[in-house]
Amino acid sequence: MFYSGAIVVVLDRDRHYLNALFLSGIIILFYDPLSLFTLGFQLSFLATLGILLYFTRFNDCLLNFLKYKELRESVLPLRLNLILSWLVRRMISLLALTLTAQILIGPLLVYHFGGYSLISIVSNIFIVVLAQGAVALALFIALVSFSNYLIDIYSASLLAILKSLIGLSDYLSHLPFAYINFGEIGGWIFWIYYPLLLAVLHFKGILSWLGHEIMIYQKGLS
Amino acid sequence: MSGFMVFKLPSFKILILFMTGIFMGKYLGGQAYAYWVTGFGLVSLGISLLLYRLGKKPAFNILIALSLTFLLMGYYHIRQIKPSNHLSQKNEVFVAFYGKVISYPKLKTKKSRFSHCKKQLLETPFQRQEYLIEAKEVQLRSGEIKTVTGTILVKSKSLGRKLVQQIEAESFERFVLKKLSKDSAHRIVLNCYQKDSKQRYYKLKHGLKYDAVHKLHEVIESIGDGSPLLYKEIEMGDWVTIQSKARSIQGIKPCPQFDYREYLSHAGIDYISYPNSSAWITLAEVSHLNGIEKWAKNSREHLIGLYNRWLPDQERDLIKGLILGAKEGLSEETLESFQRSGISHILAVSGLHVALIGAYLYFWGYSGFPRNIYSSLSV
Repeated sequence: MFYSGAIVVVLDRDRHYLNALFLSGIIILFYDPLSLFTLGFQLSFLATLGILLYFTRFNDCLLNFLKYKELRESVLPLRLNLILSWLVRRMISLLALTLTAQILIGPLLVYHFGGYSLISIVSNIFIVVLAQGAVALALFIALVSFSNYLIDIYSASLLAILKSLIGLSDYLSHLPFAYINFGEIGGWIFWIYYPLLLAVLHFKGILSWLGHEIMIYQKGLS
Repeated sequence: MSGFMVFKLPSFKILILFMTGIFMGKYLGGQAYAYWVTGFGLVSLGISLLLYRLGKKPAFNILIALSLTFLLMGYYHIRQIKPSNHLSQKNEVFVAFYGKVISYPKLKTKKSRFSHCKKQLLETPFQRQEYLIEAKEVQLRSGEIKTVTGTILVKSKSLGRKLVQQIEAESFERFVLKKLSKDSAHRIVLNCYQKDSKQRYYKLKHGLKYDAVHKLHEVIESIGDGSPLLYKEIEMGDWVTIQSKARSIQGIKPCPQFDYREYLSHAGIDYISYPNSSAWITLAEVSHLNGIEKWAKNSREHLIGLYNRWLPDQERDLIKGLILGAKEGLSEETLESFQRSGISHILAVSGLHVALIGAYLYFWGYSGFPRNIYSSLSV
């Protein structure tokens, strides 16, 4: 996916990332067809597909729902307002990102692990940010490893991040309904969930497509 | 583009077509997908020739490239199909495996148990011994009777902090195994683990590639059981010989949620073995890593050393999981809380790490150097 995306960017095509995703899918399956049946491939492919398809839509919906625009017109000082706006925008986009990824991989997780983490939608917003910070800082520590003084400073910050990551994860996992156990579920879940999802998210599209087909059919009759 | 329009993308159509082929191949039985790919390539070739005849050159160019790719992939996969052999018919065989350790040995227990285990290994009495393989008549797989003799001198010596044991004398076994190692690329995927807290000895679980089992079957038949027992800290890049009972993966019962047999088969593993304390592990050659592998190993050790020095236990294990994907140090409680809160994915080395390194390179582009260089490097 990464390389296909890079090729698309380097060649400066119309940057249709869906094409890059499908191209990477084709390349991976060319190389190893049986990876289609591995959980890693299924999860990463579906999560990316979900993000590419629905992220913008979900992001806009959430912004409208939370009336984010009103925040800009608040009476707060301009600089504070800007920072707050950036934070809210970032949080909403993270929420939309998690939702769009989870919406397609949900049934896969239920099928393979017999349960689903409801809290993951919230935890991913905070913990992924913390994990990103921790990884970036840990790699940076490796770069400044020549100086004990610098390591001391950065490792203290890293320790704080890691401690809060562990604490937060522990707290969230113990909340009621954080994780729902479904037990053993058969393959029927896919046959119900995905058509239903498609129908809900693309109701208008399906209707217009059907209308178009009917119109062509009627024209043919006349 | 709305989600519904995805169905109209040509790349999506090709992908779906290809997935259908793989599904068909899988459920039609055997390795049918290889033949499906070849068939698809042949059909594309036919269509492209037709297009050439009709004078549609751009479409012909694309299709001919596609068909050649399909044909090459078909050829590649047909070559991967394993011939039937007497080994695969048996459920359990006693064989010698020889191969390079290609993944970091992982310990599924806590660190304290590992050190306890390691201590015991260092106290192993096999410091210097000479083994004599007496003149022995063995029947080869071909039916031929052969007399085998040889001497193996085993000596252990300490290199730095690590105990490294080496076979020094050029033995018959080593000669044969060395020769074999040059002939084919054997592979052993090796994981070390302790079965439970009560058992103190080191145990190995190893999956083997088919060709390693196939070729080494003859070796064990000709040598018999004359190999010495050696223990050492097994490292990535080491060449080892393991003698133990191996079980065919065909005997594993499939489970609807997770098909272990399919998983092993996909990893190229046909036999698994869980050696007991009497399993014989012989170090044939100490790690010979190439430049990149050595650099990766040293960087990994440098990072681990750095975090070991500066961070407390729990946080250190977590950062190792985040950076290196090494989850074995994490406690079960932490892993469970990660699973319950749906964030286990952060422990996998993924595109996030690549992206971060790319981002570092990208932002350094602002420090006066030509940005194009950094951009292309980060891509």
